Amino acid sequence: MDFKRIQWIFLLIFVAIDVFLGLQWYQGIQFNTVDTVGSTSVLKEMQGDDISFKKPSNKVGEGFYIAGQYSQAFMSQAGIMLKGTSTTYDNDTGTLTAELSINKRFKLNLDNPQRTLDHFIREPENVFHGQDYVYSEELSRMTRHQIVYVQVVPSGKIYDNSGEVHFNIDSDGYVSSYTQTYVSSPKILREKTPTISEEKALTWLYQYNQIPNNTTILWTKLAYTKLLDVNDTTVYVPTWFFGLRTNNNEEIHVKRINAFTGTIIKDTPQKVNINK
Amino acid sequence: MHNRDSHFVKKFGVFSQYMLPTSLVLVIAISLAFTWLIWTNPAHFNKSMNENTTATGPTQLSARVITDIYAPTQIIYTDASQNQKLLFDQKINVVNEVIKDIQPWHFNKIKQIENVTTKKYGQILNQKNTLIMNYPDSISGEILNDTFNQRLSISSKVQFNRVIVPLNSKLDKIYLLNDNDFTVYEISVKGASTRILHTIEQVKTAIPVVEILYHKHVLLIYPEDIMLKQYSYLQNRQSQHLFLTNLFNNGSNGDVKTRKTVETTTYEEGNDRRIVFDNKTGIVDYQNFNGSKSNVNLNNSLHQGFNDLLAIGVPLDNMRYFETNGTENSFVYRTYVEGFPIFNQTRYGAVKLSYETPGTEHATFSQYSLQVPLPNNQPMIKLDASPTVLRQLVSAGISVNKVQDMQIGYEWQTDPSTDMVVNLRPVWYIEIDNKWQRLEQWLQKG
Repeated sequence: MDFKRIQWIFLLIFVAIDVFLGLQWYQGIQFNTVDTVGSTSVLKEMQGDDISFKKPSNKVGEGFYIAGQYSQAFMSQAGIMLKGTSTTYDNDTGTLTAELSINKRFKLNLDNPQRTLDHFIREPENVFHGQDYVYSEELSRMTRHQIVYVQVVPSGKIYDNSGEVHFNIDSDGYVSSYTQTYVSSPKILREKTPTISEEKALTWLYQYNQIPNNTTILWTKLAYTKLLDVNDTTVYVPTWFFGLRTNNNEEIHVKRINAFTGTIIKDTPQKVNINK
Repeated sequence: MHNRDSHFVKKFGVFSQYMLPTSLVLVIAISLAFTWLIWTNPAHFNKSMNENTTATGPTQLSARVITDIYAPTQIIYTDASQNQKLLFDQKINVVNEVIKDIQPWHFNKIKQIENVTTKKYGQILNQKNTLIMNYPDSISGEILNDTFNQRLSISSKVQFNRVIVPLNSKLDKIYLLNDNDFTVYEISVKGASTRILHTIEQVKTAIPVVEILYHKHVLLIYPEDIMLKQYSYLQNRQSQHLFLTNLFNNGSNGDVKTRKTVETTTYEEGNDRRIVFDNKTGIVDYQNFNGSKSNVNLNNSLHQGFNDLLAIGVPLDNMRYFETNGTENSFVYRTYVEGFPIFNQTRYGAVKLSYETPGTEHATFSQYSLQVPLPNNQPMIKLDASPTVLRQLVSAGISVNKVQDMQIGYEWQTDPSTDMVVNLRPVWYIEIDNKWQRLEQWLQKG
């Protein structure tokens, strides 16, 4: 009988040991996947703050550093090529403004503006190098009277006011004028490099306190933005864009995260002058 | 207790006589199984290390993961007539593409190939129709699993610095090679796809090279002169404050002693931690006499190294593991440009971590790092072919069998006109007596 009792005591002790070891082991496994758990818990926390978003992808992307220039000579050519427009060129901002003559204006279906504009922009007599631009639904939704086309560069699009065409719509729904900026001869500065994933970018943006409570994330996009100006060249970097709208406000805000380093991109790019 | 026991016995009778010993055996077996699982799970070692680093480290927001640091840096293609070419392309990242192509494969089983002589090693290395992925120095099998998304069970003994993928029609095996002791492992592979062949075809630039065994060292020889680009980068200077917050327990607000001279600024926290900043060169020397030492094998050391890099807070963009010393207690990391390492960012590389005496951590790194590449119009530079370089060394009185390694690297030079810009110039670097120096430095001495 005594032996039986010892067996019982042993049984109970070993059950306790098993529970303890089991917990230890489970925690070990948990630690192994700490990275994903980390992101997931941040995403949960965001939902707790009434931030709504589509499930972000955790796949890493790839991109380049790209250098480009404003070309004044380029824009002065534009004036000769275009027909039925009167153009002005602002040297400081590198912006060409083209006013369409009355008979060149056309009405636009604002639900699907790209159907008409895609044809218009491709004609060299309408927009200079227009075939380098594509329609951006996200940016076009930012303001009601503008349709935005963005410039395509190697392996991506430029979401920056230095490579865009903005079509202005008058009160009758006609396209009356446009402004154009152009990045000429974009060059790759460094080999293709991995970027951070959408999930990382989104959770970091939240951790930097850049997403207020009660916000809807309308869209996410990986595109190029201006990082710095060096002499007369501009360096562009792959960037995660997030279109945010606070729920009691109509306005859409765009937040940007550098997709190589994960830092916030400032509104005014850094300027560097090198004496060569 | 006694009453309850007898109650059970009454209830179940003979059955309980077996029940009790059986369940006892069962729980003992379970506890043994858990013990084994815990002991073999490396996460438990990492956990203790990580606690140590997170206590000092700030944010764990890193854009880079461990497999980015311990990644191959070169891809060499050996064609059907045994010509070897270093593959490079600015538009596609060849290393990443090849890794992505291999990730869906299934690594089945690993076995060591017995009786590998130096000659046989050379033959395996130079097999026809293969792809060689080179790591700057040996890494552990677990990193192989992480990099290629595999779950192969590999002994912690296994170390390798090359992966060889035979590109024959079967694609059913790969080899792991270790230059340090000439061991070769064979891994059988299932489900390989031929996408890897298309990746290789896409690559634009192929520099002719030869992997040769030379006095027990494997050297990558460039038989022809090479033209390489120069690069310019915007320089980033991290503040002293940042490193103090990252590396001291209480940040810079706690009980910290400061000593400042013309050359250096020293901060001490208690008797355990000390940071010395070189005011002129921006070189930082950090010592912690209260560190943890649990590096039982290379894999743990590599993990600890990565965690320490995160804790220090230097940018890990393009940072790669470069080499360890013979006793595996000192690790050097370097910044890479287009597949070539950068030298003299500090005397030792971008970051050097040492764990020489148990419980001490010693890190040397720089406040300066590369930030953003800048456009430049500097001409390309011509580098001599390897045989010419070796001949120059010999005529300067340096015997060739003293050469441990030779590599093309980029020399870090601050722009003379502005300290915001770093120029990177390609030059030959030679390793003799465990010391890396520019070719011309060795020639002057010789």
